[in-house]
Amino acid sequence: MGFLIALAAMVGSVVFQVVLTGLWPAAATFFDLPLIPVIYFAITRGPTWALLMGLGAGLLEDSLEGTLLGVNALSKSLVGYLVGRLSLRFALVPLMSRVVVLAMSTALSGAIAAGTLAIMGRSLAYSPYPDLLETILGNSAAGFLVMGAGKREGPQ
Amino acid sequence: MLQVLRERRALLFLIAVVASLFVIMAVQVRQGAAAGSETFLLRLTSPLVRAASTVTGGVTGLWDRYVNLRHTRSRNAALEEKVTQLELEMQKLEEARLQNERLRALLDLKEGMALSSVAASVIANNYRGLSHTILVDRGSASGVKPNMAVVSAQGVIGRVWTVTGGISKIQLITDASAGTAVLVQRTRVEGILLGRGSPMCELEYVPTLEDVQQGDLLVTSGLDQIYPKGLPVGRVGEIGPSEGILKGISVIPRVEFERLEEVLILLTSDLSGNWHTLPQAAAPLPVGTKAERTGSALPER
Repeated sequence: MGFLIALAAMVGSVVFQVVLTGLWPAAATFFDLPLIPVIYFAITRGPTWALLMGLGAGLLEDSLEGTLLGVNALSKSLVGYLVGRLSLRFALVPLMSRVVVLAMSTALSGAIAAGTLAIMGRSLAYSPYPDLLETILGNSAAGFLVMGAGKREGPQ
Repeated sequence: MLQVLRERRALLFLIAVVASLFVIMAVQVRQGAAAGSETFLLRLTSPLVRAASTVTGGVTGLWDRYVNLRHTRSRNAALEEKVTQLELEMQKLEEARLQNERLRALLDLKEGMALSSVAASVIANNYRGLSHTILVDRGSASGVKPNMAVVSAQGVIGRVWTVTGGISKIQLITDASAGTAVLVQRTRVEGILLGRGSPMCELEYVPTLEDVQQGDLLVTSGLDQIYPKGLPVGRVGEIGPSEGILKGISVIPRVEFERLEEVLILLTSDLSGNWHTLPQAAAPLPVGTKAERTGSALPER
């Protein structure tokens, strides 16, 4: 059941991001919605779940967005794993702590993606740096709503 | 060793994932757009892409239609307002055209007359009232005096009854106390046209033996000293049973009194002749007959 929920959250967030970007192109700057369930599952289920979700969501995102396949998968997997490890050491139960973690994760994910592309000799379809703050703010706001509605528990 | 591996399973998995991803990316960079992994994943996710695209297209289409509908509504309102304005403008122009036609006809009549006249607009119409009268916007200031003839391009309207400085009351030929000396244009038979307070008039004092037929045109004879000779008045309607030696003839006036808007008041007092030819001597009205009622010097009924 947990797997299905995770799968639905992963696919749903990616599709929602794509649809939202289709309707409102600026949404690509403001949100990185697939990262939200990755971080949520990292906090509530641990690093392995987060790693798998990050990998799946990232690959889907890369495929749908047409960027270099693996960039988002790598960044989300890494960030998900790190947050999952962090949640094993610290109780990230308060909503605000989760939102702060999400904000930091967003920044880190963006940086990893940009760095990976730089290593691969490619550039992003859009430059993340001027818009990174907007992404952090937008994602934090969206995460506040999503995580506020989710369960407040740590990894089992 | 196995214990360590079990404990570090997640980390090892991460390393494997990261390494795999780097390999995939490196292959893509080397092979360019023809990378098999990219193609494979794209093929795998294409239903998802199509579904997302359908949803996006649907929502966008819905939004576009909604926005278009809103624009259509506002445009429709603006166009309706414009249509109303144009209709009003068109009505004004049509009104001006009709007025122009009427005034042109009146001008033709005025120019065709050897008599001086003044045009006047009808400001009140009491055609359906107890006394058939109209008010016009010309009075003594314009030279109008009682018993002057009032005509239109269609024919005789009536005579000036009372006059103030700027307004005159006109008695129509259909008024119950009005009388007009007329003759049948075709046979030159004379008679007196009497108003009945109704849309129809009566032609009286026409002997039974005289030749008068339905549809004959009646024109003024000039004998009443009010109307110039030869102005059209109306057509013979029904010819009823004889009243002794006289015929009972109903007359349909030529003028549509209900639709009067502009009239011409003949200012001359010398009406002793045909209105469109040179003045001729006119015989005085026979005293003591009903024809007296049509004369300016005679009392009204």
